[in-house]
Amino acid sequence: MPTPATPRRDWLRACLCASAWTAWRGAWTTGVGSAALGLSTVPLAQAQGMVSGKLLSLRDMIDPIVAGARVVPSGVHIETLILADNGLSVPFRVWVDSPMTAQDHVTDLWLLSQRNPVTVMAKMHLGPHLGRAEFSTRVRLAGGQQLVALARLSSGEFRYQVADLIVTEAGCVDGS
Amino acid sequence: METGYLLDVNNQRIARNVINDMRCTYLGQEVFRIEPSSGLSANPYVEFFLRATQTGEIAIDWVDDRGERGQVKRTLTVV
Repeated sequence: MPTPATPRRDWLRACLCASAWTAWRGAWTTGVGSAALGLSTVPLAQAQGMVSGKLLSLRDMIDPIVAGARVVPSGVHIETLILADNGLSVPFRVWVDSPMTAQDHVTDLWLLSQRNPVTVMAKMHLGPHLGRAEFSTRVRLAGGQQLVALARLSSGEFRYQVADLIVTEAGCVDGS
Repeated sequence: METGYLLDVNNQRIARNVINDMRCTYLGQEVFRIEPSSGLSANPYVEFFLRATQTGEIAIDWVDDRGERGQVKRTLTVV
């Protein structure tokens, strides 16, 4: 509380520093697939009231690619922000549990967006030469949404993971 | 790069121009390929892993929507 001895300016600065520090510490997370846990959680974007525009369902995003093959919601991990201040550049890291041998490896990896104008943000072709099925980039997001990382294994099976993000400023309009 | 969603001064859409295909070749063999859309940010800083088995050349080639190509080559030395 501001007292005569501590001016309001110093008190405000201390509050800002404390909130910024806790926000920074809490902003990194590893995505937990709600489907994998069997929980029906309300997506963060909807909980925050940021639901402008049509949001695709998980089946809308995955079915055109999977085309009826077996889909398992495990084995894929996502590391990204919980809250992105700027949707123009959101760091995103995906890795798949796979030995990456010639007999058992990840063949393809898709990044799917729930709200972006283009649903398939990127498609990657991997192979046993990589040694590790891990990929990291920065994505552009048109608002708070769920991102899906979908991996296709050499056996024809699909694995996926969902990450829920809040985006303060949509990345659709910019000058870059 | 252009995302394809901006309007110019005449209220016309500026055509999308992003890198739509980027390949990494190691020892003459394609080891990694990414087909991005406007969903990746400008300067996306793509990171991936590569099993380095022998000394050789890594080449990264890309092409954008306008057909412009680029290439970077480096020699990877495996001790």
